[in-house]
Amino acid sequence: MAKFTDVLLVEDDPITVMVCDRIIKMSSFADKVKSCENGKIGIEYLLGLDENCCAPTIIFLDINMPIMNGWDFLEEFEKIKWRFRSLPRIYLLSSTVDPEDYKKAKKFPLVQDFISKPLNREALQNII
Amino acid sequence: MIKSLVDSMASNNISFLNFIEKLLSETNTGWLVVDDNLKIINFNTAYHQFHNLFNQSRLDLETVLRDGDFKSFPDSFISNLKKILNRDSEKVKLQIDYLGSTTLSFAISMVYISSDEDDFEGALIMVQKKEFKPGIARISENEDFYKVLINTSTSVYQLADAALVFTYTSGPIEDILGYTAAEMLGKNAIELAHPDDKEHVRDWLINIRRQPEKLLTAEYRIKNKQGVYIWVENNARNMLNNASIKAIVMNFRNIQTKKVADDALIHAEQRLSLLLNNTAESFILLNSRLRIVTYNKAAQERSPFFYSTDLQSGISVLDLINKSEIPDYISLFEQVFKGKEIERETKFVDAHKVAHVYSHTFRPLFNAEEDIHGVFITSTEITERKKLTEEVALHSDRLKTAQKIARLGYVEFDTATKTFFCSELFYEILGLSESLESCRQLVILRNLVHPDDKELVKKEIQESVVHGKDFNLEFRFNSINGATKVILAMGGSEKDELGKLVKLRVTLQDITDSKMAILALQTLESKFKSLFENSIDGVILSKIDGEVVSANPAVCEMLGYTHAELISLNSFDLLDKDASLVADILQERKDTGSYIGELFLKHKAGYYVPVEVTSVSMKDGNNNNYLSTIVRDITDKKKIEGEQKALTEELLKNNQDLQQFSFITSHNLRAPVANLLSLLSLYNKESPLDDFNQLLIEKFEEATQQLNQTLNDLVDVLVIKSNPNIERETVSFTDVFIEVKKNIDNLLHVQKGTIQANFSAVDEIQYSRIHLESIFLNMLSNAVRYSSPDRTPEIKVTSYKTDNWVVVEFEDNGLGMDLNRYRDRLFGLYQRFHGHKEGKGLGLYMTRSQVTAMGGKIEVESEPGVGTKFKIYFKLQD
Repeated sequence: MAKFTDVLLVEDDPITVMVCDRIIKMSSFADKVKSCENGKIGIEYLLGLDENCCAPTIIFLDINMPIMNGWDFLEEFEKIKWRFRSLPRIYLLSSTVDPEDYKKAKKFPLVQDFISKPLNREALQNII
Repeated sequence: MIKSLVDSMASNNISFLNFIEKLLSETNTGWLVVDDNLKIINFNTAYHQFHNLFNQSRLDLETVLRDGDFKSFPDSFISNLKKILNRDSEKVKLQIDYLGSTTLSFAISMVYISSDEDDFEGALIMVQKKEFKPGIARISENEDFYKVLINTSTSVYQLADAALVFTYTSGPIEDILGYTAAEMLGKNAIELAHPDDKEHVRDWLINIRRQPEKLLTAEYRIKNKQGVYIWVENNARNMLNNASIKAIVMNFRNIQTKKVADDALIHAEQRLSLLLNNTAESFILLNSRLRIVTYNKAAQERSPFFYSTDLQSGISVLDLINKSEIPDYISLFEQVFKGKEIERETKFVDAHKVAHVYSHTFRPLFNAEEDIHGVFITSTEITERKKLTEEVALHSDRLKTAQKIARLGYVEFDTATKTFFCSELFYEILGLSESLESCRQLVILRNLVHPDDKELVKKEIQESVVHGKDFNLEFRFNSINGATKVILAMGGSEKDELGKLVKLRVTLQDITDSKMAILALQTLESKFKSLFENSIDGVILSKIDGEVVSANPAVCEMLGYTHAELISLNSFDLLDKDASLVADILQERKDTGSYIGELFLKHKAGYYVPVEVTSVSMKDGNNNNYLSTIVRDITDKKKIEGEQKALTEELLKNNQDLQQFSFITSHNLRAPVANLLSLLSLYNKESPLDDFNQLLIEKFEEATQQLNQTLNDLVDVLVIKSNPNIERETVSFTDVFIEVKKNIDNLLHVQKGTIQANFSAVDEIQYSRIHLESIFLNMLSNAVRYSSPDRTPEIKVTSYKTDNWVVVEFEDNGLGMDLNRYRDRLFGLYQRFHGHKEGKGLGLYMTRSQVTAMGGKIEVESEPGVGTKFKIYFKLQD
């Protein structure tokens, strides 16, 4: 029995997507993993879900992505979150070392934590 | 009797009143007829004898009575009279005692009378004196004593009753008037008075009757037995209330000779009056009894007595002065009557509160016999003279004091007497102990003059003596105590009509201290002057309104003006670059009295010189306000400051860039490393031939390539960053464009795009060829890469020149982008905005680094779906 029903992974690097998908499944973190290659696709995916359904339980969000980066995604999500019965917990997944990014993350209440790449089992175990 | 009278009157057909008058004219009974309004119609001489003091013109009986001396008498008299007139009774008889007297009473009867013929209604009043008691009887006890006393006197004593009828007259009357004492009995006191004096006597007598016990005096003429009028002085006292006397006591003496003297005075006065009435000096002439004989107009204004009463002939001066002053004046007059002339000053404050001072001279008047028969008082106002005298006294004091305060010594040489007059300060200033008395001592003085100044002093004094010139010279003088003084001597000579020297006058002043101070000041001034002239800093002295008063050579040179040009300017003309700044300066200077700051001054050539200014307001010796402004040229300082500022900014920016770069590179290096680590963790070591392991190996290779590429990119960036001063060469945009275009021709061909390049405006710049090629490649490949799928790419490359820049524009009709969203990270490292795989987020970052490293900048305009225009600014080289 997996810990969470569904996870959305917004990440442009295909290797990272592959690796994350594998780890999540192997560690029975979630049954369903959906990945989107940038923020824009992520938002479009969420808009495609039924109104008043539950949003993905967990979102892993990369910051540096083309077209719409992690921060843009967070701003856009704020605008559409009313559609969902329950809101996701968002984890930023990044290799950033810029302290500005940590500061910026605090502006978004939905962001739970920063997870430094690579995503590993220990990090997943810490998410309860 | 009345009835028969009336009957006879009727039968004789004569006027009733005429009849009455006739009938009663000769009787001893006094009678009086009044009409029904109490107006006196007629009376006879006998009545007049009883009641002779009223003026005949006053015809209202009641007024006459009340005005007279019958105080209680009129009430019963009038009430009874009214009864008659009202026909309440036919006839009234009454007896009235004379006021305050038991010696006299009147029997009065009144009857109503009327006459239709005369249309008259009225009353007839008849008066009879009832009682007569000689007053002399009352003093019979002392008669002998008084007789001796009275009859040996040169004065005449008389007693009169309340009706002013003499009841007694003393013996000497015969000597004076020729009447016997008996002849005077029964005579009225007013009877013998001179007709011209009667009015005066009447008033006097009325006053006597009204004022018991008071001594009242009158001078008048009495007819003697020979019919000649004699001047008498009569003193009377009303003693009717005195139980033992019950009479008016009178005593008169002959003053005929005195009166003659008075007449002489009056006569003299008349001759003088014309003269005296026209003089400003006042005079009052008094007779020997201190009564005013005459006075002139001026006397009323400035006699010693004028302020109490109006002057009047006949008044005693003792009545005019304050009681408290009487003893003083009596002793004064005693002196005058001894033949002395006395002066006295009085002060008087007029209605306008102005004080006047008068000087009065009291002189005895001598007659032909050398006897004093009067006093002549002359008065002059001396207010002004007094003031002047006081001022003169003050003035001479002042002169002395002024000399003392000014420390002026004074010496005067009199040629006639060959003597000197020297003031105290003269000795003090020259430090002489010996007094200067004769010409010989001049040698001493001469020897004390400083040797160098001797000739000058000698010359000046000689000039003055010979030609009468005033002189003004300074010389040094060795005072006895050895100190050298600087003396200012000012002098002049006085000559007589013949041009001969009479006096030489000289003032001396010790100006040693001020001379020294001036010398010190001059030294100081010359020091400041050289400081001013030789200062490297500019100095401008201006008035408060900005008018330049003085400017030193340094500021002239700094601003390119000559001194004459600069002082013709207003200091604000030099400042007009920024009016608000001028206002600030003025405000600050107003608030704090000074201004310190940096600003620009206009050079004559028109450019502005950066200067540091210290402006202080100050006052000169005459209390005029000036501004002293020190100007320092800070062009070099500014330049260095500017360079330093630019350097600092660049350093800061580079620092930020580097920090950002380090964040990004570490991020970008960590990402592939993280991938490698993840891949490794997924590797199935137990069964290496696992299918998934094969996938991992592929991915592993991919990640390693990614890492390698990242490292290479970073090296490229670092090369640009670490080497900002790449050597410049002349590079042609056309050449570079042709070279770069080759690299994108394929892609362009595929997309059927076109590129229009126009470098006609400017084609060559000094730049790094490699950088320029890199910039062109990035710009052009981006333009092609992000073309719109809806239209064929059209790219325009144009160069042109502005003031400081050469600009190259790259304009496309591609996808465009929302700059509101992306502007701040457009040129960021590893920022990508399109999903194309080729984009690494490096190109624009590199381009910007290459442009900014050479002092340029890059700008962008874009609209989603329309296109993008990049403008690259290459800095022109000097």
